[in-house]
Amino acid sequence: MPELIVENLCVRFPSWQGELTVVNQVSFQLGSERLGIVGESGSGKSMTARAVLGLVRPPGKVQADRMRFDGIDLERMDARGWRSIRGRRVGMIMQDPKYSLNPVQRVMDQIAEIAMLHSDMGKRKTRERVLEMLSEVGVEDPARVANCYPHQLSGGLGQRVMIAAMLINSPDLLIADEPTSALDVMVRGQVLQLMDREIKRRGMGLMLISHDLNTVARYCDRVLIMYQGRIVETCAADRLFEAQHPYTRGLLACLPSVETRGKKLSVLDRAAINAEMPAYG
Amino acid sequence: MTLHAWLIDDAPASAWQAQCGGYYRGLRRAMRSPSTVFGIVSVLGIVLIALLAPWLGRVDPNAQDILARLQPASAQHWLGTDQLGRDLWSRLIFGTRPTLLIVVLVALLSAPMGLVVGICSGYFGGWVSAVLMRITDVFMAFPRLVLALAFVAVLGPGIVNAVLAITITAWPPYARLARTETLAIRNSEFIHAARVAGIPTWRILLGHVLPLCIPSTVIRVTLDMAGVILTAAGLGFLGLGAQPPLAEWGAMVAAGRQFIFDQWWVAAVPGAAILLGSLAFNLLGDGLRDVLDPKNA
Repeated sequence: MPELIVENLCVRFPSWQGELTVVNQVSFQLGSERLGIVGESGSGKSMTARAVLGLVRPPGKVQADRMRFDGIDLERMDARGWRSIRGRRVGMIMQDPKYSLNPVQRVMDQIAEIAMLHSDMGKRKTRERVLEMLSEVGVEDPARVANCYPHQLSGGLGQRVMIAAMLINSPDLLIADEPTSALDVMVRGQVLQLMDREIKRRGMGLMLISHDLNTVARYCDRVLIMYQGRIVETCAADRLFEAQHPYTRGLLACLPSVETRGKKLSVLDRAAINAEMPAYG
Repeated sequence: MTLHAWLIDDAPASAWQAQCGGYYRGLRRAMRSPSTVFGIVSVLGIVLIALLAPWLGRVDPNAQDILARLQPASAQHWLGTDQLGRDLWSRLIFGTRPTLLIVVLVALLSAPMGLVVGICSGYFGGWVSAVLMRITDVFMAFPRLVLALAFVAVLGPGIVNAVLAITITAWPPYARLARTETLAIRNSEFIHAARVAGIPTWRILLGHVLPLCIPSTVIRVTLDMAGVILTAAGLGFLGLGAQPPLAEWGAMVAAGRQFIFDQWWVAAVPGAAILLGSLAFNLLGDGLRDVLDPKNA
């Protein structure tokens, strides 16, 4: 099973106050399992995923002791090498299908373009494959949806299309960057369950980035908790609610539940957390 | 069911019907403005005249009749004759051809050129952008006609060279426009998604960025066509565009200049044609912008 190994990954951006470390010495391994990354906005979780796919734009700088996928060194990768990895071996699903699908291309053309890049199937076969893929991700009328432009689709349908596009080349690893935060609550569960089912069926790895602790606890095997660019805690998903780190405890305390009904929800006490963290930088 | 009802149906039965309805609505919207109607009709008229010139022109535009030179309008010569006794009506009709030829060729050559430069500059940024945009600035720093004059002077007079010269001076605004559009598109999520999917850069540029830059460029090109007509006429007037004896409006005005006080129609007739031609394209461009721009819908 191909494995993603990241050791001491740092992403830095220059700023007026000197270099800003957005991702700070992050290390993890990911095989055929479901890894969740949680943290607040700006904690570096998205940037970690982008760094893994080589999508950090200059002037951002990526540095790592080791960053390998299936034995391939991701640090020394040229444009051609990236093309053989992105979309074929690693897929990525973004937040909002409204923006991540090209507004002026039909669904069919968008998925077919990705499918044809990595295989030498004929046009006709590719089209059949796209329709097949759409029905696999639970689209009820694939022929109609394939003919639509993205603005004609609902959010949930759009995200299904995105998932179909990313799974069509059967990648080994799927990175989902808050795949459901733009969807309404009813559809969220459906999309997550669909992703979960496909990942289990194909034996793929999943990196699920989210700020929703409940989602991650439910759909992942292992969870990394990030704060200010670092991993502050790693735990098994089913033990997430017993986590020890003050930041994680703080996050958990913020979740509304039956017991907190009618009471004020607690707010993160950053001073206390920072006091317990080793010196920053 | 009437055609109108079929076209504005709220629940079209097929995608084709919906598309036809969309075009129909756009057309209706354009027709609301009298100036747009005037523009559309005039441009269509000019195109028709150019196509039907041999039948509308009555006599050979280059047939000389020295004995009947500088005649005023009459039943035989509807708009009079010029200094060589050529029929001005015929020359006016045939003059639409070089004008339209220049306009169309300039549009077909300069828009793609500007798009390529602008999209590359916007997408790649950095030093690629700096170099391309400085070149664009150099071209924009010169007045159009002066630069075109310089190029024609180097290339030699003639219609083809006039087209080349105008093209070279016409592309920079399109490059600027395409660059701005690309800058906005480049950071959008679907371009990221395309990169994540492993789509090569040239395919992203051609398949994902270019189609989004085309509408604004088309509008700009239509608006610029009036300017192209003026530049072409200017080159003709200075003797650097179409060469005699070819009937070309700018050259005809130049020929009539000597007689402007006594036989004013020799210069006024082609002058009016130039005015009408550029006005028509300007109004068409304005109308097109109103229809295609979603903000004005």
